[in-house]
Amino acid sequence: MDFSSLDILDEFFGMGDESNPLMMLVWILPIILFVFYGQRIQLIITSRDIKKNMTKLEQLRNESRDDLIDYVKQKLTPNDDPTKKLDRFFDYFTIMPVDVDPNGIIPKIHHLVRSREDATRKQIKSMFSEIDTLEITKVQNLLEIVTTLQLLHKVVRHLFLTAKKQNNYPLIVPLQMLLPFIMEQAEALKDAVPAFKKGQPIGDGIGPLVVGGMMLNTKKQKAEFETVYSESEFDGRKLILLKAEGPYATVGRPGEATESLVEKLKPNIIIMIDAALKLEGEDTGDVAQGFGAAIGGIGTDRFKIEEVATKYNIPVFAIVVRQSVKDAITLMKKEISDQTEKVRNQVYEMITDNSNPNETVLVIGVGNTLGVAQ
Amino acid sequence: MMSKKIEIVTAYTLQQCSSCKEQSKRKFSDGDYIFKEISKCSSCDGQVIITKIFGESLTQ
Repeated sequence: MDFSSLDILDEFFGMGDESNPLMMLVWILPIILFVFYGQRIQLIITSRDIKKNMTKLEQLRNESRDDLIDYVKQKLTPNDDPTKKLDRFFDYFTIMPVDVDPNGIIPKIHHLVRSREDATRKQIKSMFSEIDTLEITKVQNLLEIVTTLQLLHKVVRHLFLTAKKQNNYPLIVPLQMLLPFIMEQAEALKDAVPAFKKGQPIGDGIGPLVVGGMMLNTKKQKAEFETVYSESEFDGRKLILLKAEGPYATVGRPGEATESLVEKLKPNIIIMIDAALKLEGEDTGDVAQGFGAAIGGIGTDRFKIEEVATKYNIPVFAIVVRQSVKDAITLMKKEISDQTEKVRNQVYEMITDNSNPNETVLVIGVGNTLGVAQ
Repeated sequence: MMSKKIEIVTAYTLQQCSSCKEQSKRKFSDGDYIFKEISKCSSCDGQVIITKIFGESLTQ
């Protein structure tokens, strides 16, 4: 074969008469640049975006911290300057129990959560010579908001600085993906502050609102700490109505209350009403029915209700009102509030469909009952 | 350029007479909570209670 006519440079690198070496550089150089420095360039671009969000996160944390301190100073009467003590609270952490052997972990988590709540309440009480239950619960919730924002900011900052320190682009990718969700939650938390300060009902309060209306003109009794129940009648059935004690900013202790009421009054069915997270595309205020214990949180209350329902073979029904994270913790939207009657009618329908006259029905309104009495 | 819409939420209180069911809506004021007994009804002397507190938003 004759290779004399083959000009390799011309064939492969376009160095022939018609090609321009400068043009070749224009497309070769970026390729070399991206092969060797692509991740670093991506890291720089992503870092800028994350930094911007981190500054926003810090701003949200600072604003809600200042809001809480101002509220405590102006609306309440602290014994002395509460700033130092509150700043210490914001850094409180919780060490979850060992889960290598998960058997028996629920009582441990339950104990931990309750101890933390009790300790925080005591600490808040000790800051004031005089403070009522409503204000204690409000400050407790506001403290929780600031602590969560502080934690979010610290975690994001840690992940970002670690990636930067190691110059490791893949390390920053999960953070970049999670950041929009973190920011959504952070903004929702910041927006929740005014409702908690003013004692206004929040979206999560739809369950207590429905059951609270059914409890009007009945004798309210204490079921557990910050949890009340009353007895009523509907269509020949005995109703036990349970909710957190309003208008305090509390979810009460529905797990323990259900345990004791089931042991004492042996209901035939349990109906739970709660707010539930909506999926993208669903409308705020959509009402849905289902089966199982409709209750959020860390899982200990749900565990207790499921345990006692299984022990006595009691079917558990659920009605939920769909809403976003923001809707659930900010001032109750009209779309949610307008569903109250509809949900209440569905509860009555559920009672007649799933129980017989002379039977007992336990109806639980789950959620934070801020601004909703009974 | 896209301008960001500002959402202004105003809190309202809806109160209703438990006898004649007459309703009235007003702006939320401090101390309001749902099922709070407000006053006697001006038309039938029944008990007026707060039945709803909600937010309505305006986007600018």
